[in-house]
Amino acid sequence: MPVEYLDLFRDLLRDYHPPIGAFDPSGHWLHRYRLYTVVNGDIPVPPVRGTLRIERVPQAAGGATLNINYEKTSRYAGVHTLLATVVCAGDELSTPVKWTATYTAAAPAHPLKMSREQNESAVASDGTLNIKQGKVQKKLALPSAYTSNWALFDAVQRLARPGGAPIRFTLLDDDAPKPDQVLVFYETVDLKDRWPGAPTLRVHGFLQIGDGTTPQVYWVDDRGELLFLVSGLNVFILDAAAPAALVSISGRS
Amino acid sequence: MSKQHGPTIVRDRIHAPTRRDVLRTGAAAALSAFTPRRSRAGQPVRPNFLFIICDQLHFEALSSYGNSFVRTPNLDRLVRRGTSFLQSHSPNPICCPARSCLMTGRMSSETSVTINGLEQVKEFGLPPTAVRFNRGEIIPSIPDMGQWFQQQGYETVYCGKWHLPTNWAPNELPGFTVLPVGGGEGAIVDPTIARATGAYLQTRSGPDPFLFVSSLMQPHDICYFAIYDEALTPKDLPSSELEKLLPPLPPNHLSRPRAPQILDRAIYTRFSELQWRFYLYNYYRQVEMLDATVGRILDALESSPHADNTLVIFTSDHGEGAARHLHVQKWYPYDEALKVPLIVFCPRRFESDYRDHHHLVSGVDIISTMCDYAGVPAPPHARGFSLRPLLEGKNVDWRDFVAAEVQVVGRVIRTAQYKYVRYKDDPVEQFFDMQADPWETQNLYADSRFASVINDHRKLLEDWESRLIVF
Repeated sequence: MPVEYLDLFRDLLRDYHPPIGAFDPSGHWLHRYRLYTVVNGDIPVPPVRGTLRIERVPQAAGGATLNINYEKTSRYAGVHTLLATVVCAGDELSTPVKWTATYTAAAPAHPLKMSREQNESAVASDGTLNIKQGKVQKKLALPSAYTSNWALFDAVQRLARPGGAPIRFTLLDDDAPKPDQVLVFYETVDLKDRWPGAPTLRVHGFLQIGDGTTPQVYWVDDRGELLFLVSGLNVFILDAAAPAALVSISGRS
Repeated sequence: MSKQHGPTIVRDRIHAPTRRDVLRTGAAAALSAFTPRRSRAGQPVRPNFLFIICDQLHFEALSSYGNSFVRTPNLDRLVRRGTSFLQSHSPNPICCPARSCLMTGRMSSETSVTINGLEQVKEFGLPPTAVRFNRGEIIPSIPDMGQWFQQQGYETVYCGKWHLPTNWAPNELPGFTVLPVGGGEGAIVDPTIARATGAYLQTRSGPDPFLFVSSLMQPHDICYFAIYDEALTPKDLPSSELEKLLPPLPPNHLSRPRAPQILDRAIYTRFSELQWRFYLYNYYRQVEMLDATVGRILDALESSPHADNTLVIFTSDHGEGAARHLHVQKWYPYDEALKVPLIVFCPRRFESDYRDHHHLVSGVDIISTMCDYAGVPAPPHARGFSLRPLLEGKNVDWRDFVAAEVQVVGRVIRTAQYKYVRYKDDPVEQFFDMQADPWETQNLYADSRFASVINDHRKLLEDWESRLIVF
């Protein structure tokens, strides 16, 4: 979690070119992240373990829709995918109020009669989250402040820098509520002198701690754009080749 | 021997209170014995089995067991609805060997899976001959759980971590149809395993009963918090918010009872006290990740057509050092690594909230239990006992001791009161009075007052070993 964690990825970040140009966290943007891990054999030159494509489309009535395409590249069994559309409120936590999601397991042909795909939908209403997962229906009582893993990719880009009060909330990790989360400004770091070839880049970290999640740090640049998410063994790194801000996006890749 | 040090005889049968005794006193919740459903032809319908294995779960890392530093509502749901065996032991507190035992009901020296990999020989200073005893995969003449139940007409499916020897279940395993979810870290792969398990439970069809093994990775991710300690367990806490949340260190944190050489070397010394507590904090967060995954699986089962005819068995391959005796990870004969949670229940048909504190049980008992409920014989030479009588509250004579192996040359005999540890060719043995000293701080092996009872344990070990079939 401290910036020393990023040092483990110095070989990857040596040629990292931070995104440039204007960035409006409340606007229309598309980010592509690569997922790496710090497990044995992955360091010092980790292979890509997954990708995340996340697009924010502002809604006229406030809030935004997040289009999510997450692919986890399995070591031995192809790719697992999540395609989701999340409607978020226009508040500090980008509170998700409605979503649909489809998960696929990369099970090659096998003789079992079962589905490879799971569909999920959820709607928040009157303090209750109604979730439908295939034939399973769940109702969760919602706390006053909650958000989800994916919505935080959006919300952290608009957080205040030093001096901001900690934000307390419940995290919805997909469908699992994880209470007692705290998101707080952590530190500002210049990466430039940390290792030879480090990018000229100042990043600001926001730390998240709470039940059911190891401490994780969201690193944003001066414009608020989320560049790195360090989460336990996993690190999401913004693909700098991807455009930071888009006027229009047609379709989802 | 003075009376205050307990009995000198260890061969007595254990006369622990049975569940029936407890029920009689009204101390347990209602229990209904497992009555097999019957088919239209009047034949008993054989139960399905959902075997959930997790990796490196400490035996006390559940909130329902009194741990206030972790929140595990879904594991607690298992506890509330099932029977918890609180004296459950890993047959070998190391991943590969333990899994070979769970899968076969045989000891690891018999399956020929005694270490995780050859690097362990150097890392832990094992004798070079150790290599000879490790084939790395279960010897072909011993059927694994999948092969055995497939022969009995079960649909047998495996999903998740395998580690015999490949870490993740390859696309083809003898005896199992594999749901390939690939591999990776628990935080990434466990939700996928849960979803694949759920999809199977919700949508499978077919006339045969099933055995589904859902093999989860968490909370094993904690291993990397010791390996990459500077990045993951830094010297300074990342936030003052954390300080008040850190668990305290266990009372035997710094305890180093005299130990055989291999064991004596296996301590972790890179952490400050704060780092140890932060390590524990992170461990419990990973237990909570496991908890969420187990919840997804239980939700899927309970809303499936199989809910009332599926026996759920939950356990871990081994425990976790959890800062006891300066330990991280596993590899030790101490309780932190050796003891594991074991919970059994069957939704809507076989439920209770019972904690069995007395009966010594082992991971090798699981396959025998499943066979008993399936109405089929246990595999030849299976070392375990069926837990069925204990689950159903029957008053049975139970085993006097449970045995375990560790690090190829280490052996453990655990009786009701004592634990005896011996590493081959090492003159230092260990002997703990587990009732007087549950934290295993005082090695009594050189205490002349225990000479007789220690000798009894030596004989138990020798007799037990002589009955193993080691190739």
